[in-house]
Amino acid sequence: MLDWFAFDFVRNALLAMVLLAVFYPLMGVYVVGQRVAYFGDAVAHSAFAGAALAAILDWQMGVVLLITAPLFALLIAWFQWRTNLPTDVLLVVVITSVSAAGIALVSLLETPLSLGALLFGDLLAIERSDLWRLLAVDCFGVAMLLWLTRPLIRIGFHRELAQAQGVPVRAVETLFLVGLALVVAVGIRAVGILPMSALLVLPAAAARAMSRSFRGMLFISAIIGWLCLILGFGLALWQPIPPGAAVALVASIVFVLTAGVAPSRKERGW
Amino acid sequence: MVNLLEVRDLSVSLGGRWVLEGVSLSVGEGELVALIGPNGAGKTTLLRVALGLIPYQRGEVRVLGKPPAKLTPADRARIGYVPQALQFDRSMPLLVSELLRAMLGEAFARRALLQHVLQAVDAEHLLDREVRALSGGELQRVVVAAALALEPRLLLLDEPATGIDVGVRLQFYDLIEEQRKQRSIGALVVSHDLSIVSRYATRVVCIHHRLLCTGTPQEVLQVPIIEELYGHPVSVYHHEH
Repeated sequence: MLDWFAFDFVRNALLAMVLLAVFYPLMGVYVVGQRVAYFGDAVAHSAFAGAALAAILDWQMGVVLLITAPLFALLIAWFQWRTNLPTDVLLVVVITSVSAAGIALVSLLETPLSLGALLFGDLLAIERSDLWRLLAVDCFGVAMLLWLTRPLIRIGFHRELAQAQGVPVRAVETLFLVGLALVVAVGIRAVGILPMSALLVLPAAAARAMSRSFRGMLFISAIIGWLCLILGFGLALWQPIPPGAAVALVASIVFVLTAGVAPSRKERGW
Repeated sequence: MVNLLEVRDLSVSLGGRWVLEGVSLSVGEGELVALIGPNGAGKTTLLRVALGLIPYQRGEVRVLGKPPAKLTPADRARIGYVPQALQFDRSMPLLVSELLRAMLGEAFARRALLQHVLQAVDAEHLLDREVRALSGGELQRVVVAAALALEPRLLLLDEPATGIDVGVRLQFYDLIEEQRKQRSIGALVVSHDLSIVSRYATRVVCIHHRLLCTGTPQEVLQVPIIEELYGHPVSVYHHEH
């Protein structure tokens, strides 16, 4: 199996995996805490439209997504602010329409773009430029979370109380959503649209059931994230399964196992 | 006496209905003003307007000398706010110490300081507890402790002692009384507990969408006034200040 590592594409895939594992499960803790998991999913689905635009412009998809994903996130945030639609309804509308428009465009344009690669990622096709983007988004993400952790905890605890105490709630939330959009946009090339939420949300959701403290949740989510990526990548090398799907599969199994093992709400007394 | 909160002719419409119409009141330094009235009278709305959380249509509001929309984060740090019946996501793991550090900032990073903050409401034993496992009363105590820790000039408290047992409730109001007298803080307290109002308030304002009456507890907490305000027969006992 060690022969595999002589290949550039395997080494690139491994590096991408490390860069994903370092940050994405940590980001997931904040995504779960702010209850924006569905938002991340909606932004991921905007990649259909982003990919179509990249094909029209003949630009690299990774570059186009870095522009379109944050713009899309701002658009959803604006809609959410302007309309009285419940968030879940709004996001279902957005996911459905943007996916349909993107798939229609991709199909009509007859681009060489593979919908399969878009849906489940192509970790083994990762290039140097993708790695640099992942490294940049990891650094940006860590800096953002160091800066926003306190206000995000306060907003997550009680939004109105945070607002009354002078936390610029809308600015913090918007910045966080733009950051989330960038994280999602960069990760899609490696893990794909569908497993993106699994990578972001499942380790954090599993950690939530097993932790007492916020710090503990960060730590456990990071460990579970590493575990899922290592096992998922190993599974993809062993069997003909797309790496993104393999990672999502392992993350789902870990989540189900931890949900069964963790003390129930009744046992915890809340 | 400097007015920390001044409301003049305030009218607020929510969902096409006038919740407040032409209400005026003020809270000066060293005053504890009790805001009383039946459910849905507009008490919480008045507090939320003062905090700049909802807009108002008519009138004038000045908090620490400024309109609510112009309050800076530094101004807001000098306003202690405790909302009514805290509801939050109980699924997130978070320790009380982590919540307090997030609310109070780096100046309170040391454990001993946090314990001191909680001591004020007899809750130092809660420091290492999970927030989601606290009872309503315990959580209310933590939020009240955080509101008092930053030495505010003005307290806006919306039924702050709901769910807190009688002993701690008196201890909490004694603490506010002490801060009021020593540091001349002002407080506007929404309360249905007329016994507490009678014992601690320096002035009482009763509203039911409109301003109905204002005066000292002895003047306002009279059987006919309270019966008219709440629409029920009552008996009133006055505490001596």
